[in-house]
Amino acid sequence: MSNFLKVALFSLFIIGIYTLYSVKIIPPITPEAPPKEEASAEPVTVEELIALGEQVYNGKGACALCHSPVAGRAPLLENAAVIAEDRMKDKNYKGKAASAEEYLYESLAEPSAFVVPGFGLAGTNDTVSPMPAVQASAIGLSEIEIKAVVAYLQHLSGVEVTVKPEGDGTPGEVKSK
Amino acid sequence: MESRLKRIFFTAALAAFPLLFLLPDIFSGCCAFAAETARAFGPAPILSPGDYPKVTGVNPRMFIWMAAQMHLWFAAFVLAVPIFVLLLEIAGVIKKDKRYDKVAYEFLRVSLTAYSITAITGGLLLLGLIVFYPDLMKYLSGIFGPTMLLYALFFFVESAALYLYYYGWKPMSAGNLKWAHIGVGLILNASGTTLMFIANAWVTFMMTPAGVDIAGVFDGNIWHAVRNHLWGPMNLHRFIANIAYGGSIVAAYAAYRFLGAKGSDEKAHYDWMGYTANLVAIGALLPLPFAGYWLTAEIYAYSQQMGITLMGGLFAWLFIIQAVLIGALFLAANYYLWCGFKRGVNGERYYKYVKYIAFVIAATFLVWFTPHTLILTPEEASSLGGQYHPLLGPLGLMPAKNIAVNIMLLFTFLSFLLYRRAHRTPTVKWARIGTAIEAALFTAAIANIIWLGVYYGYFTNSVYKVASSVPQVATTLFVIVACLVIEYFMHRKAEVSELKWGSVPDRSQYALFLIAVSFTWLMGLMGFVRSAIRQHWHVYSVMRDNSPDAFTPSIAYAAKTVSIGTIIFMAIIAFIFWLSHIGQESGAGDE
Repeated sequence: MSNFLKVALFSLFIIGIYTLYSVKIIPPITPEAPPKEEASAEPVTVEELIALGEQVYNGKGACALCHSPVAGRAPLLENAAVIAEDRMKDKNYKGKAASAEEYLYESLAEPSAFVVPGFGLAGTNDTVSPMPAVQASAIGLSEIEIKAVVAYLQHLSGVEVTVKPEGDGTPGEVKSK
Repeated sequence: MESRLKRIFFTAALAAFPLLFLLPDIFSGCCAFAAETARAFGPAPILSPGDYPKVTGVNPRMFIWMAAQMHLWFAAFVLAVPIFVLLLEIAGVIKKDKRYDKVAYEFLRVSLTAYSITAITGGLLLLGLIVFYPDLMKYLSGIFGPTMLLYALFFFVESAALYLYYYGWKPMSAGNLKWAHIGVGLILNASGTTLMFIANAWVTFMMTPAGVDIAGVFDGNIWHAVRNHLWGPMNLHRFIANIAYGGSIVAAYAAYRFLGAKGSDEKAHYDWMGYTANLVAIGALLPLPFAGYWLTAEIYAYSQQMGITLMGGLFAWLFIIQAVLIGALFLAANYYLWCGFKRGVNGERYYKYVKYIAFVIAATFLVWFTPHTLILTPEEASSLGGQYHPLLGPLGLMPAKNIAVNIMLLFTFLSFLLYRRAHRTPTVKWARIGTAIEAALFTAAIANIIWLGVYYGYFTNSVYKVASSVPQVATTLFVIVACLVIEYFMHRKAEVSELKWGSVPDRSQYALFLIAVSFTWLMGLMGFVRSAIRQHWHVYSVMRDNSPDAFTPSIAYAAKTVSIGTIIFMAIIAFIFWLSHIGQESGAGDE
């Protein structure tokens, strides 16, 4: 057998092994389709608002990517609305919220207003949060989506949901990227 | 006639040399010009599927994917080869050894044909983008227009320098002309690397846009857009990776010629060429993981979401494939070195260590490709008590992988040290102490790497987990540098026997083929993930991809595409090698 043939067969064999490994051994995961630009109907009830919040929390907002016991990259939020008052009294709090609802909203829109100790950006002594502002960057939540997440967090904490759905009661469209 | 030619070359080289030092001024001047002439820029266009032109029978994304990948493979090769051709030429002048010159010239001849194919694939990519993604190109050229002109200018400079460098090799081979020739080589490399930096600015802008607001409105200063989060780390990562890749391809060429060599001299020449090129490839491979860390850290710094998509989401499994490929690369590189023990008269005394090194490299390789999350059926997960294996689960985390990769690097370096000693016997009195110090350094380094990884990786929070990788890397680099210094002084007056080039078995050359194929495939795969983490965005978070091909393909789909690309690339490379070979045989290449 000529050297060329031997080398060609050897190279094809190596490529074949890598391909087979990637196709047959690695678990087949099909990525989700890109999110639709028209996200969801505008919620008209508190329940719809909470449902939208949960959907955004686990989907478009990508909150659960970090705020989960598995990831461990950010504080857990099961109790976020309950401990909000304590956070606002903390000496390191730099925000302007006057209520738990405002504090939660502020945490999403200005994450560095208060950084939970141990979760700050490296080298900033817990003064800067690594979390992006949710209305900007690739997350790009709309006003109603941010409010929906706040409602969902209140619901998750078992406190009264104080966020009110907006609109005239007619289902509309929430725009998002 | 010849002296006139020499004068022309000399004058041209001297005239072009200052350009090298003017590059930063030219670039910043260009940016300043753009800033001064800033006009009102509009937001990034919002597209609908109808805005993407269609050509019957052509899948736009596949066309762009293939053209871009081919261009990157060839560009990596033609950017890397002149770097070590220049280094070899300088080494040849300093050591007064004609072998360096000969092998450098042969490297350059191989890359010359590849240069035109790089330009052709680059042209295909550009045409494809203009035809299939006109709005994206319009938006990008609205921001990067001046740098695109700069790209064209440097392309011209690089082409001129390359032809001058190649055709001037023999006319400028002695005296001052030789140094002028080296100057041309410097210009060639500086312009080639600048070309890559410019193109990197466009690519990284699409991933981590800067100098634009949320709507994509450009602030008018190109420097802001160029110096985005990933530009620096991408420049470094590609620069190093290109050298590793170029070395591997030339080593494969030498291996092929070794297998077909007719006499012992020819065999010895190609054995030496393969070894030298592979040394360059593996030498560049060693710091590559660290450049990769920086790149990934910057991705996280820009967007945690993007970072998590890369390392913890859909693409996490892709890094298991990457681990397999890099493990294969290290195993092959070590195997090649072990086969090379035979070249030295003392080589056999080190064979007894091979099985231990092989064991450690295999063990670290297994740790590296242990996944964290297992894909299980509900019954399997229930019997296991969750998605994570109680014993193997921790090995799936980054701290374990950092330990594995650092130890793998150290043991590869150990193979290299043993290889060097295969034909050297130290004569200094402190040789045994020197060896003991090296052994102590290795032992302490391994203990430190494991301690840093285990303590900070598993018993502190995630901030320290990531930060601990830096002292681990520093430990590895320290041992490499310290041992090289000790080796240098220990072997300064050593008894050196001549290496028996050409004495290695044919099977050792297949390790070089495996390295070249694995590098090519790996580059394709990592190119895919780099682009894919933008997901459904042309320009991340600024300009959405609304084409029918906006979906993210699965890893299996990407693997098949990369394999097809690799086969096409390898076929073209084989053709280029063949052309170079017949050119050499007919003597045309030496003219």
